[in-house]
Amino acid sequence: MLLRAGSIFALCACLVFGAFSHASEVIVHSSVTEQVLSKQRLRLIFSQRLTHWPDGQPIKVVVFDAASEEHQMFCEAKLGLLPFQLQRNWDRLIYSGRNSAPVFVSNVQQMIRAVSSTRGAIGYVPQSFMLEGEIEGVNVIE
Amino acid sequence: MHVLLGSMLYLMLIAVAEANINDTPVTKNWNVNGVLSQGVIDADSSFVDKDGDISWDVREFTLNGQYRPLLNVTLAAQVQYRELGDLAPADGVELDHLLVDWRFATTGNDELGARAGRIKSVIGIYNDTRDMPFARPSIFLAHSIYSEALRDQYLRLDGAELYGSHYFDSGWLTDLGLSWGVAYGEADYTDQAFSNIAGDAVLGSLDSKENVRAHLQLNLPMSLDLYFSYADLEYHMETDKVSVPDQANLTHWIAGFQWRWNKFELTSEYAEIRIKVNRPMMPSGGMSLMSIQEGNLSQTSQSYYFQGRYQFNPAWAGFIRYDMYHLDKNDRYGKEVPDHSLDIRSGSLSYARTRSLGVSYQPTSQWLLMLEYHYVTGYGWVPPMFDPNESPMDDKNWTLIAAQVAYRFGW
Repeated sequence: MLLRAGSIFALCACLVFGAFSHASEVIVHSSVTEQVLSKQRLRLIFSQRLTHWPDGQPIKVVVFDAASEEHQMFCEAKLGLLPFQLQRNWDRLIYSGRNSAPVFVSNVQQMIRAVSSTRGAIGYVPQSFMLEGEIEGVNVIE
Repeated sequence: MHVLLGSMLYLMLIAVAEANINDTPVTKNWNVNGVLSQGVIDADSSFVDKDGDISWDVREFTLNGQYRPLLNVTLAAQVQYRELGDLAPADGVELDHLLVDWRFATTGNDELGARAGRIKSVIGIYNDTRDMPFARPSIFLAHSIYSEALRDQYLRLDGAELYGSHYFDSGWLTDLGLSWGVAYGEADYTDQAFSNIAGDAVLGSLDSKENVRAHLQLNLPMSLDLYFSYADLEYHMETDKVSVPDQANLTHWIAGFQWRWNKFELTSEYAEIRIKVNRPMMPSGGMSLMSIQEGNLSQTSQSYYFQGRYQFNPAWAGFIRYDMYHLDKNDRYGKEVPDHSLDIRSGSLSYARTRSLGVSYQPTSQWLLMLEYHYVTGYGWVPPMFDPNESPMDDKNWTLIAAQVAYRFGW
């Protein structure tokens, strides 16, 4: 009985931990003064419809590879968009000469490096990564 | 061309003068990418191949680059090679766009900017990316709105554009976005485009030196768009080097909307083009409204389509579309002009009803395959490619099947 309860508890913990590990936190370069961004604002930024921060800095969007689970989870949870909807927005802007492509990264280390070293950059990391403590050079957006 | 370069240089100089020289430049401030595609088309009309044969001369190659030398200045360029059977035979690489973009006012919610050079025209939801397989829902867009014959007229301008956007984030206006643009410049007509409009019987060329374009877009949960264009056409006769200024003018407006809900997207556009012919092109007999020797011809066409698109999963998508075109909104099926008279306004030459169905498969973000089927009633797509020396086909129905594979790099 105890063994069975313990197994169920462990399974639930894995599921919960798994859910948290797929939730995303939005991060920005430390030069960005915005602390709170609404879902609508995030959608406009990652769609590259908004191109500059209020202080005039260009916004540089950094995302995981479009086919990655991280990117899919971020799009659905934080933007309320499906990845293909975001991709269509990018395609329309880039191929008409109205904007440049976002930066694509393959792993969390590349994401951190890109956002922390590029003024005005915005990206996202798994929430579980943030539990390890602050990351130098980036701020977390609420 | 010197006006174009002068506009670009002027914008650059102003932007440099306004730039904050203490700004830290972003890393990797440039990007180059490209797209290659190969297709095949089988149409049982003379739309793509004059003899109605299968055409493999369906290719597009695009190389695109952006460079940001300053925080609020971007240089963008795209070169393109395009073949579409007899409609657009191979003619080397052309400059699709080359522009300098300067965003001189940004507040986070508001942006105001200008671009100059060879710029893409925003006239219709898909016009400025109509040649990009990855940025359009199908190989052939709704032909009533995105006509191959008028492609050169509306694709791009050598000139300048002022644009802006505003996003509301409070009160009842939350989630509302507003964007707009006004452009002025010259459209570039190729010899093939002239032949597509005038037919093979008429020699010469067309210029469209004065064009005004404007657009307004509201972004709610759906987007509502309004587009306008005015163009003056000048005809140059090949013999005697005679030019006919103000030969005709085109007034064009489009209203459109697009609504997305989860995996489903609904798009619709309605357009009217009024052509006013002040002096007919010579000689007569060409398959174009501009060749009709009636003087002061004024006619308004009517176009609309409804398109549904569904993303089955990240790789597969499908679309269906109903598309309707009338050359004359006051004589929608050309009944006032005798049929078989080889007048572009007569009968089945003056309209086209198209029902389309297609799928796309994108196994990775780099590869795209598309397959589609169009069932067309009427030959509104076809004139004036249609050879006036041949008898018109009695069967008003024809089909077109198209397939395409595309690959992109640099993403």
